This record gives sequence, C-alpha cells and structure tokens, in this order.
Amino acid sequence: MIILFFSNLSKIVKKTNFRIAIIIITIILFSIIFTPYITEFNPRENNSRNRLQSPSLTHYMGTDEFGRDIFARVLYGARNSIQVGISVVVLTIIFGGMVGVLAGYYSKLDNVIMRILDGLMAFPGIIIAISLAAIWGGGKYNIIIALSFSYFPKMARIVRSSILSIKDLEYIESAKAIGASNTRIIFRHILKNSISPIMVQASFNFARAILDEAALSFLGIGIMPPNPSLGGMISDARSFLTVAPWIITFPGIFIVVIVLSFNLIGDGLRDLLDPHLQNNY
Amino acid sequence: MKPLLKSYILKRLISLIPVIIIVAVITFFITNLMPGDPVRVILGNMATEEQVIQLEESLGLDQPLIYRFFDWAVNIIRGDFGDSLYLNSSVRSAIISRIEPTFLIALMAQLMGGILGLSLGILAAVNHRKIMDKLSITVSLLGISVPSFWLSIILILVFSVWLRWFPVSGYEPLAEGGFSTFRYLILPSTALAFMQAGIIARITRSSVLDTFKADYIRTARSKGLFQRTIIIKHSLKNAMVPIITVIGHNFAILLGGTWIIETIFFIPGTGYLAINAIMRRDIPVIQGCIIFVALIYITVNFLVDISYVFFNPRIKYS
Amino acid sequence: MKKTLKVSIALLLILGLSLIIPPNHFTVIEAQENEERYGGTINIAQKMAVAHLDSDNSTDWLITSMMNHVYEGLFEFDENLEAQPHLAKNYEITDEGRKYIVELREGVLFHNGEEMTSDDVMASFNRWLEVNGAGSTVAPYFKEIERVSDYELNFIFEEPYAPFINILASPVSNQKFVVRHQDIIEEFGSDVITDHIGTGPYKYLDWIPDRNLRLERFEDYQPSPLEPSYYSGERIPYIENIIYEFITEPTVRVSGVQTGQFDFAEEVPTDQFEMFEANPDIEPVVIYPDQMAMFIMNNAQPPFDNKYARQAMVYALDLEELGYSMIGNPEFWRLEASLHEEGNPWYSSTAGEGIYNNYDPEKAEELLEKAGYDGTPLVIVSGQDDRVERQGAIAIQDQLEKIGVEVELQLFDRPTVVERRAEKEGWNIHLSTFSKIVPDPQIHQGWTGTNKWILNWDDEYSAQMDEIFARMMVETDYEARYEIVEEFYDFMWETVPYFNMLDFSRLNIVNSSVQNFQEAWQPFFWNIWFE
Repeated sequence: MIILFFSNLSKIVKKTNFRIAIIIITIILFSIIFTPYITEFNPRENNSRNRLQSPSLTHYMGTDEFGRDIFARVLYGARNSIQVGISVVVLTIIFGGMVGVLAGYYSKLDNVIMRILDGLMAFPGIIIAISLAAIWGGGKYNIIIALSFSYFPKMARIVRSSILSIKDLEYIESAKAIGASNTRIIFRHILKNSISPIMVQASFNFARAILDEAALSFLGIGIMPPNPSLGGMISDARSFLTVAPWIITFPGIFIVVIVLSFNLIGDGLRDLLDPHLQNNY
Repeated sequence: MKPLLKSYILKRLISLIPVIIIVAVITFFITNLMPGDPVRVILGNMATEEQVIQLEESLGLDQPLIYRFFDWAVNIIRGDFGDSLYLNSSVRSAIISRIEPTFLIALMAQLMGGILGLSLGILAAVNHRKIMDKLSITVSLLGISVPSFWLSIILILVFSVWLRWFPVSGYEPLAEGGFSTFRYLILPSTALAFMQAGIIARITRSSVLDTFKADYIRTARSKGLFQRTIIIKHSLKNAMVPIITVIGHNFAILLGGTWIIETIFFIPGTGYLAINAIMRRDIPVIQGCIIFVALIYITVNFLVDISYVFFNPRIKYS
Repeated sequence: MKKTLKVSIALLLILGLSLIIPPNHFTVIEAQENEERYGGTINIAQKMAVAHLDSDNSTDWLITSMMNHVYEGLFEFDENLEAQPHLAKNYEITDEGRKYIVELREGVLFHNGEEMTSDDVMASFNRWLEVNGAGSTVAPYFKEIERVSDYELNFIFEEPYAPFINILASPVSNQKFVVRHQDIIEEFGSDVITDHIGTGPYKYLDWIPDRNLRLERFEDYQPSPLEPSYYSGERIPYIENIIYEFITEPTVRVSGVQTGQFDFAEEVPTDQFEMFEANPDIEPVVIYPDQMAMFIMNNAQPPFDNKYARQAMVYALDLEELGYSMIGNPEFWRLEASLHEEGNPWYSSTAGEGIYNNYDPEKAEELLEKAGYDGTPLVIVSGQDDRVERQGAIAIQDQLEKIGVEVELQLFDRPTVVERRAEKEGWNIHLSTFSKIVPDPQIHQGWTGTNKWILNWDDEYSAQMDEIFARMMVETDYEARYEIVEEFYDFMWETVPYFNMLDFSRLNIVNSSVQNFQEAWQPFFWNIWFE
C-alpha cells in the first residue's frame, strides 16, 4: 500500500498546482519549526516606545501597538494555528473514525448514531465551536476540542459509508469464515478502503481548522492573548486600521497562503485517489 | 400532487423529527453548561445574597437540570422560547425583530455567490484545460481560502474609509430605507459571497465536467447539436443535483458566517444578537438563536431534498 | 443754539424711533434665534453597552452619564467642581454639621406630569442609602430624614458629616444621588429599575440592550434658575431626540463621525489625534484630568495579603512603558502620584515619594522575597471589552515576567469579569479605571478600607485606614483636614491596597456642526444645538 501511495505521489507531483502547494507547505513547516533561528524577536516581548512602526529592515513587517515585532508574531502565530490544525485533524480522524466504524459495522447502532450525527450536523460548525469555546473560556486546547467536536460528524459519515460499501463484499465474508476477529477485519481490510476519502477530508479539515481557529481568535475566544495568533492579530489591528494598515495585511495573507496550500493538497489527493469524491466541507 | 411525491415528502418530514429532538437536547445542554453568572451582572455589584437567590428563583434557574429541560422543551414546541435575561423582550420577538437583515445578507450572499460561482464553474468546464479553466480554479480556490472576517475589514478599509462609497457600519430597515438599505448590506454580503462563489464554482465545474463524460452527451454531440444547446439542456440539469446539494449543505456555513460578519459591521441581525448573548450568557437567547439556525438549515436541506425530484425525476423516492 | 437744536432733534428722533419700533423687538429676535436652535436628533456612539439603566445598582459610570438627561440630583457640580443646589433651592448646615436643612424647588415636574415633593426625595434617598455604593458608605453615619413640609427636608446625622453635599452630587462613577418618582421606588424597591420617571430635560423612550438607548425632549421641563455651568444651572433641551448607540469598535466610531452617521463618538484612538485636529468637520474633545488607570490587588490571597508584595508591584512597573502600551500618544497620559491633580485643593506634591514611578526591578524582587512570595503564578483578571484594561493587562504581564514573576492572563467578557473579581479567591490582580475628577477625598472611602468593594482588605492596616477616614469625615477646618488627607496618601503608599499607575485623558470627537459642546467628564447633550 505504501508503495502504491508513493508511486501515485510521483504522478501528482508533476502537476504544477500540487507542486507549488508542496513547496509552500515545506517553507511554512520549515519556518515554524525553526522559527527561533529565523527571527531573533520574542513575539510577546513589549517595547511600547517602539509602537506602530511601519515595515523596515529591522522589523520586516513592522511593529504592533506594543512594539512587538509582527514578523515574529506572524510566524509564532502560524505555529499555533498549525498546531491546532494538526491536533484537530488527528482527533477528528480518531473520534470520527471510531464512531464511523461503529455505525458502519454494527447495523444495530447505525440508526441511532446516524440520527445523532444528523442532529449534530444541523448546526453550522462554527456555531458549535463558538458556543463551546465561549463556555470553556477559550484557549488553545479548548478550541481544539470544540473544533474536533464540530468536524467529527462529517468524518464519521465518510468512514461509515466506506465501510458500508465494502462490508458485504466477498473477501470480508471469507475472512469471517476463516475466523478472523472483527477487529482484524476492520483494520486490515475496511480501513484500507477508507484511507483515501479520510485523507482527502483531512486535508480540507486542516484548511478549515486554520480558518475557524482564526475566526475564534478573532472573536476573542480562541488562542488567548498575549499568545500570538493570526486571527487575534487581525482583531487587534482594527483599532489601528487607518494608522497602521500593515498590521492587518500580513496575518491575513499568511492565513490565505496556508489555507490555500492545504486546499490544493486536498484537491491533488482527491484527483489522485478518488476523483469522484465530492468533498467540500 | 402525485401520491409518490406526497409520501416522499412525508417520509422526509418524519425523518426530521428525531433530528430536531437531538438538536434540542444538544442546544439545551451546551448552553446550560456555561460559566459566568448572568444574575450577578443584572443585579450589579452591590447585590446581596438574598437578591441573587431571589432573582434566580424568579428566573427559574434554581431547578435541577432535567426538569428545566422538559419545561423548556415543552415550551419550545408551543413556540415559547422564554424571555431574554437582558433584553426586555421574549426570545421569540427578539429573534423575529432581527430576522430581516440576516435574511437579506444571506440571500444576497447566496445569490451573488451563486451567480458568480455558477458562471465561473461553467466557464471553467466548457474551457476545460485551457487558461480560463486554470484561472477559474485559482480564483475559486482563493475564494475558499480567504477568511471572510479579514476580507470584510479590508473591504471596509478600501470602500468605506478610503473611498467613502459605503457606510462603515449600521443598518436601516427596508421599511425606512427602501433602496438605501442595500448600501449597508453590500459589503457584508460581498465578504460572504466570496467564499460561496468559490465553493459553488468548484462543485459546478466538477459536476458539469462529469456530465460531459456521460453517454447521452456524447450521443447528442455526435448528432451534431450545438455545444451551447447541449450544455443548457442536458448537462446543467443533471449537474444541478450535486450543485444544489452542496449549496444546501453550505448554507449552514453561510449562516454561521453571518454571525461574525454582523458583529463586524454592527448590523442588528440574529447573528449579532447571538454573539452578544453568548458574551453575556443570556442563555434563553443563545438557545433560541442556535435552534433558529438549526431549523433554518434543516428546512433548507429539506427543500433541497424535495427539489431533486424536479431536477432528476429518476431519483428514487426512497 | 445749534447745539441745543441738535440735541433736541436727537432726543426727538430717539423718542420717535422708540414709538415706531415694536416693543420687545430685540429680545424677540433673540428668542427667534433660540427657536431656530430647537430640533434635530443627535446620534452618539458609546464604546460599551450597559447591563441596565439603574445607576444605584451598578458602578458603571456610563449608566449615570446617559441617565443624567433623565434624572437630576438635589445638587449638581459646576465646571469649577463646586456643588450647586439643583433640585434643591438652597440649604443650610446647622448643629455643627449634623443637620442639613434642604429646601426644594417648587413646581419641578416629573415626566408623568406630577410635581416633585419631599416624598419623592425621601423615597429616592432611602433607596440610595441602601443600594448605591456611595450611599452605603454614608448610611452608617446617617440618623434619619425629617419631613418638614412638602418642600423642606432635614437630613440628620449622628456625627458631623462634612462631605455630605459633595457625595450627594458626586461625579464619580454611579455615586450621584438622583431623584426618582416615588411610585417607581415603590414598584421596584431595590431591584433593577426598568421604568424611568425623572425630572430631567429628556424622557426615557426605549432601550434595546446591545443596540441603542433613545431619549426624547421633555416639553414641560423646569430648568434651574442658576447660570448653566456643566451639570448645574439651566439645562435647555434644544435637541429633540437623543440616540445613544453602542459601538465597541473604535474605527467604526471614528468613521461614523467622519461620515456624519454619528455626531459624537466616545474614546477614539489617540493615535489619530493629529488627523482629527486637521479635519474641519471634526472637533476633538479632550477632558482633563479625566481618569486614572488603577492596579487593584486581592488583599486576601497570597502574595498580596502582605504589604511588601504589594509595594513590590509599584517598583516592578515601568510606568512610561505602560503609558505607551495602554494609551499610546504621550500627549494623552501623565504620571502623577497624587490622587488629586495639581491645582486641586487636595493635591499633594510629596505623595508617593520614592516609590511611585521609581522603576526598580531589583527592589521589587527583594520586596517579593521579603514577603515570602513562593512563585505561584499571579492571575490577572481583566475585561476584553475595554482597550485600556486589556492592553494594560498584557503590558503588565510582560513587565512582571521580566522580573521573573509568572503571570496567568485571564481576559473575559464583562459579566465573567464582574463575577470573578467579586470572589475572594481565584484572582490576584485586576485592572480598573477610576475617575480623577473627585470633588472630595472622602469619596475614596467608598472603595478604600476594610472589605470595601472587591479589595478583600481586612487586617490591622485596613482598620487604621478606616480610622483615618473617620477623622477626615468630621474635620471641618480645611488646614487640619488637609493634614489628615496627606496622612491618607502616605498610608496608601505604605500599605498599597491598590495604586494608581497613570492618569490619562480620553479623546472624544464631536461633529463641528454641534454648537456649544462642553468638555465635561460625563458628556451631556443639553444646551447644545446644531448649526
């Protein structure tokens, strides 16, 4: 399976869009892993006598209202966002996967679980996230849970439908006949089938998590000050919009670049693995 | 109405009931777990313990959770959403009095996004692999990658502060403003429409491309019919099913987006009401708004389900 | 002969003219000019919404500021910070300061058409004693009210109470005593009042909590006979309708004034001051001395149950850096240790000597050690909605971390902040804003002393502080009282239950079409008109 994946990978890397996305993501990952070496500024250190400076050779993106270096804050903020994104995706896959498997494999549970998932999906994801984040008072870990809670139903459905599509296939029946345990069947055969849609959905989830985290931080219930967050920077920038418009531009552009890259990856994966998936949000 | 259609609709309606129940349960329990004491805020700093207890009793906040849930659920069914803890009005009238701007923004955003998205998607599909296609893919990808709250502020900076074309904030009801109401709505709708256009363009493109591959299209082509006729008559109709499915599912995102957008533009719609209620722990209002959104979303998707029949009669009534 | 002729002709002309010119011609013209001033709606952008409109029940000054148009006090302050009789006609202090004889103005009408009498004043006053924060500091010394007639009352104290009038009229937060119709008091008691009947130049119309408050002109308003001077004197409601809107984003408030959507915007970013000055359509309004940014500590929990730790905080802060962080433009903030500003009779140039604005991180660390600080992270609880509070909290966290103190920053929405800080534990530091326009040092007693406000201060020092205030209250000689006040300042800087970090002035902006706008500490909209 792994060999298959990489041979396919070489196919899509030839596609320009995908290539660009990979390059951008590599750059981004590099900057967030090695941030302390890229910039010497501490994103939280105040120096208010130096506030609201426009971009210069010392401060590539200028300074904010506390004199903090914006370039540093953007990088560390992106780091936080990506942390959130990865955690959300992992949690969604685990939790959504479990629920999806239960629903797909055990038809007795299926009805109940589906109804509950339908109920959960009747709320726009951002609204659940906002309500939960507000309850728990914001903060990185709270919003990871809140966002995972609002994304997992879709993932569960995807896993469930992959399972349903092959559950009755012959080789499953024969595996059962040989006496293979349910768990083994699930892991070896069924999940193998659902890897593709899961991965595609995961990429889109990642992109969406970045956007939603930014929105929550913008509202003040995401990553809490003084920790840098791209959405939080945009919110702070509003008071100084006309005096220092650079504060709002850079974080926004960064968000667009990160999200765009992961959407491209998602597209690429989908084209590669299963072009018939209508994956959106 | 054909009996098959009738029973299809009925079945669909019935299947909504458990969903609505779950929605109610989730809403109630989420909102009642909120910390922060609304009673103390209403009474102010100098509240004595007696005053706090008294107000709690009169608001019914001292009963055990389960009883409150059933009380609440029964009232909801009767259409009584309770009274706001802060606004001097019932939750229902608070929401109803604020529907107009939210509805208008969502409508405008959906229309703008839909028209732009459909056009872009069709253009891309028709010009598959050519420059137009690549351009449209890029634009629609941008559309779904730009945070709408950031876009709103940039739009405000350019169009309201610098160019002074539109007001920075506020709203005038249709009854008072007439056409000028739309001046307040253009920027917020545009910010939301951008993402909608992106989503719709993508699904349109892939859906139309799919139909191009279908047999009957090839047959029609071989018969020598005009490309345009082919597209309009055959492809689009068939392509519409996935397109409106996606539009329906994404209506939820649109609704969620209005919450944030209304806050940025200070538009007194249901979203602004909800966000303020969340910040103030006005629990009845929060519950009402969440259920309101969920109901609208369920309704829209229900209508989408029904509309399949018109786009593709071959869909089974199952 | 010629001279006499000239004089006679002149006199005849004058006589003739005075016969031709209709009577009251000149005064009528003046009245006409005034007539033209009447009318219009003024739109005001305020920075925060209020939880309700009952000033007795909340320390939020915004409530008082808006409801100043609806309710009036027995006494009101003029621009020289002197209390003038307003709903009172005059007063007399007898019995060495134990008895205040107050005569009420007659013919003052409530919004429901009824006349104000002693009964309304008594009902409102009893409520104020019980519910209002300032009232409750007066209550322990207060004996009773004697109703002499429909328009005369005696306020009787156990001990001589010098600052009574100043506290009644207090411009600080919600302290002012206002007269409400007795039916309202009867209906609501100490619950939050939601129906408003006052004597002010404007009537309450309606209030949509996070949107707006609407007031309309009270046609039968009876103004005070005194010259208009800020809150005292004649109030003429030229403007027909007042609409307060709650707009939390400063940029939106600013743009609103620039585009004419609002006529007045509260608290706009000081960084844009030059821009406003240059703009002919906008007039900046700067209030002096305005406000103080306060560092409040929870005196019941370690480490701040020890005065050395509290002192350490003063040494730990680079106040100039705070000024830039919290306010920005240095034209708008000042460092002054004295709780009363220079020029004020209660000003002290020696207050805080050696400790205030003496940035000494080493000394701070020393003091913390002396206090036995164990390194537990300090919790700062502040509001998200107030720029100054929020920016201050972030800046302070940064500075404390520089001296090795770990800080946990908790920013909440207003309701949660109010709840958290009312608790005895769970927080160490809170930031707040006090008004510096305080007419009498006794007013500080409202939040300084044993278990006052949220301080949780209860030890030998708080008892001593109470004792200082007790002496301050009965001393009527200015010189002697000033000495007691200096004692208060010194004791404050020694025990530091809380301290003032810096003074700042708010920048408000008003549209140039608004005439005669006064730069008072709580903006008001009577006696103004549109061009």
